[in-house]
Amino acid sequence: MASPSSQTSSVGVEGASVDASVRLPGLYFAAAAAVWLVVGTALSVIAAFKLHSPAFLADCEWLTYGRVRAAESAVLTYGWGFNAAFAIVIWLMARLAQAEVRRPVTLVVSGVFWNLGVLLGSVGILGGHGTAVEGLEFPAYVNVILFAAYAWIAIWALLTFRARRSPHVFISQWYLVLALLWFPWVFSLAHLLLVVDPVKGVMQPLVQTWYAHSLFLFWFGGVGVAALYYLAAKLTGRSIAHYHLSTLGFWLLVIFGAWAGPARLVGAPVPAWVVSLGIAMSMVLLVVVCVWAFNLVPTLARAAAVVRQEASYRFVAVGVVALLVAQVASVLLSFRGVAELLQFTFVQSALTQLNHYGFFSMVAFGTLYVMVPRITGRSWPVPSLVGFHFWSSLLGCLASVVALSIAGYKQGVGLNRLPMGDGAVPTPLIDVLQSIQPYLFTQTSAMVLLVAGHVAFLVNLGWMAAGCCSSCLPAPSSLPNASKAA
Amino acid sequence: MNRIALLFLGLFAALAASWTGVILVNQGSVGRLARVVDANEGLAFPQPMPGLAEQGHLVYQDLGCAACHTQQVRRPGFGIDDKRGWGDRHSVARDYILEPRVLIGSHRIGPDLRNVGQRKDGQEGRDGREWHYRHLYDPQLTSPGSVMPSFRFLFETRKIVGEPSPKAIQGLLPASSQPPAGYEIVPTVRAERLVSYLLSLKDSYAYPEAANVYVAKSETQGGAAAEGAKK
Ligand code: HEC
Repeated sequence: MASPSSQTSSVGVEGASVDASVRLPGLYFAAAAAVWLVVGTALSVIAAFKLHSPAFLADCEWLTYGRVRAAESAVLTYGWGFNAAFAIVIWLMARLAQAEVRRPVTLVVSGVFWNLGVLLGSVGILGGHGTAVEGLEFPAYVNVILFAAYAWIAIWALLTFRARRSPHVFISQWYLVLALLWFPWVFSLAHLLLVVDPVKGVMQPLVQTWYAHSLFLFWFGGVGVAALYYLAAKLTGRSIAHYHLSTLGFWLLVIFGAWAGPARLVGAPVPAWVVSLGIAMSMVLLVVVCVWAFNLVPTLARAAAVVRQEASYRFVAVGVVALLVAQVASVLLSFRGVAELLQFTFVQSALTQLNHYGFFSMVAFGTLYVMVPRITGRSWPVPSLVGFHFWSSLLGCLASVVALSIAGYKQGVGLNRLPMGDGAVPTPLIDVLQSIQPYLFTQTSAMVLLVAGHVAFLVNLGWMAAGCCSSCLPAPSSLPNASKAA
Repeated sequence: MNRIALLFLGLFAALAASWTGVILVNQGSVGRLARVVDANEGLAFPQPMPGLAEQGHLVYQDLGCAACHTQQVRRPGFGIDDKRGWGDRHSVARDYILEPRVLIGSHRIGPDLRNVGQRKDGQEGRDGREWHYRHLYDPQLTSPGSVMPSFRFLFETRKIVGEPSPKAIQGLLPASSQPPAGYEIVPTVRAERLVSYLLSLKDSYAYPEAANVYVAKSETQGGAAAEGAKK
């Protein structure tokens, strides 16, 4: 592989027409993502609030804790996460292939179907039709809609990859292809084996962890890491440090990554060897983490002084740190001694938060903040809202991860350790819960902060999209604005 | 182009390998576990859930109880599930083979419920049904300080027409929760099913694999279940 700098420098020249061709689908998916993000985090607030004030909205069956949690997870994953990922995939694929997007309307049509599916599914969960499978909560019929909508977007992206003009394949493209090909397989297999014709007994949790792990590592991880490599080079104007290592990291991830899923089932009634193998494989993943660190950290650090002020750079930097910390933490948490104490506690929720929000969402924000101005040829209408979004996301995420970790640690000690002294009896569960109330309050406040930031993001984006649309609409046939895009 | 062919092939091979290793191989072992026939008792275990309980399982699933409750008892020495009285033995793979949706759960905000049927048996006189109704109606009545939400929507306050219903539960509730005169509070069908399900939750049969692990306390791994059965 050649150095990526050739990639990034040529982007400026031909990029404008490519960017303009992404405008319609890019804006559509970014806007849909932002709307789901606000809805999803509003659900997070409700769920978090219920944990310290269980009487809140208790009489409304649709908003009972278990359903709100399931809907929250589904909306944030398939609503926010996937729409943001689609926007990023389309833009990066087009840019890296230096190919203009053809028939952008078809992408939007698939997107509309995808989002109808998410809407139907979320209402279905709140109405009591969820599957109760973590990561695959939607009612069965929704998965079929999602799959069909996904298929077109993925085929489109792979065709763009094939039509690439530059012979060089940048590491981001490898990760994008990985994400695009891996997801439909695991999604359809999990759908068949868990929803359509469920496997027997503990095979269900086994398939579930295999799916949930692959979904995060290969789809969100693949798209997120692709964006990180691209932005690290693009924002700093440098080539990726130790670039030759990147292929090694990629293949190690591909070969060993999927095996690590069952590491989460330590102590569960599944065959012990799958769990042990999972733990061993997650240690191999630490090598992958090192590669990411060697590639991304020096590249970003070298230009820190110059670009630190740029919003996307900050989001991306936070995303890298969260990615590295979360991967190391998840290996630690699968060790038997640690799992004994912290399994089933809020520490697991803290880790999820770090992975999904600290890493993926932050990277997605960073990418969208670069992408949207380029595809619309406009700058953000209210720049101060960008800063507000960054700080509320950073502080909200940090407060939430710290509060949940402390709460989880106390919960783990209370649940799984006998108090000191002879003939000690286990601490009553309610006492354990009472002792972590302050941290659960903090968690609620952190979620409120996130919602505020997300509303700021939505307002800024909506404003921009409105401006962009109104300038386009009078002359829909011609595309004079394309020349404006920088 | 070679590179790209390699990429596609490599991805496919890796996916197929992990699929085979994690899913197919286990499908051939734990995925095929059968019931154990006990010659002394003349019964096969695990026993199927009673019909009402099976319907209650769906209520448990749709209300998302699994968001706060696990259904997997960890072995002695790995946590203190045994000392909390969450089960006479730890859970083994065979316990779950008849369940349509296996909800082992991943969060323990509340206690493990795998054997809650056994725990509540004999509470407040009868089989614990009344305890569950009171608890679901308002957890604060049985467990002050609980963060479990009330599931009052599973009950109906209705006008007494003719004879009062024998199922009415207001007699179990304190003065502050009494319905107006001439009204009664009765559990809906869903509440009855859910409670039947909760009462059915007990893994009391000692499978050979469960016994094995209990005897050998020094063993290193908890899930020797599949082999245990054959010994
Ligand atoms: C927000 C989390 C939460 C949800 C959701 C929840 N529970 Fe609970 N549950 C608890 C907590 C905490 C306790 C312990 C205190 C108590 O007894 O209320 C508990 C206790 C219980 C107990 C008593 C266990 C024992 O050993 O005493 C039962 C039975 C129970 N829950 C059933 C359910 C059912 C059925 C549902 C779904 C309809 C459900 N729970 C939903 C948190 C929850």
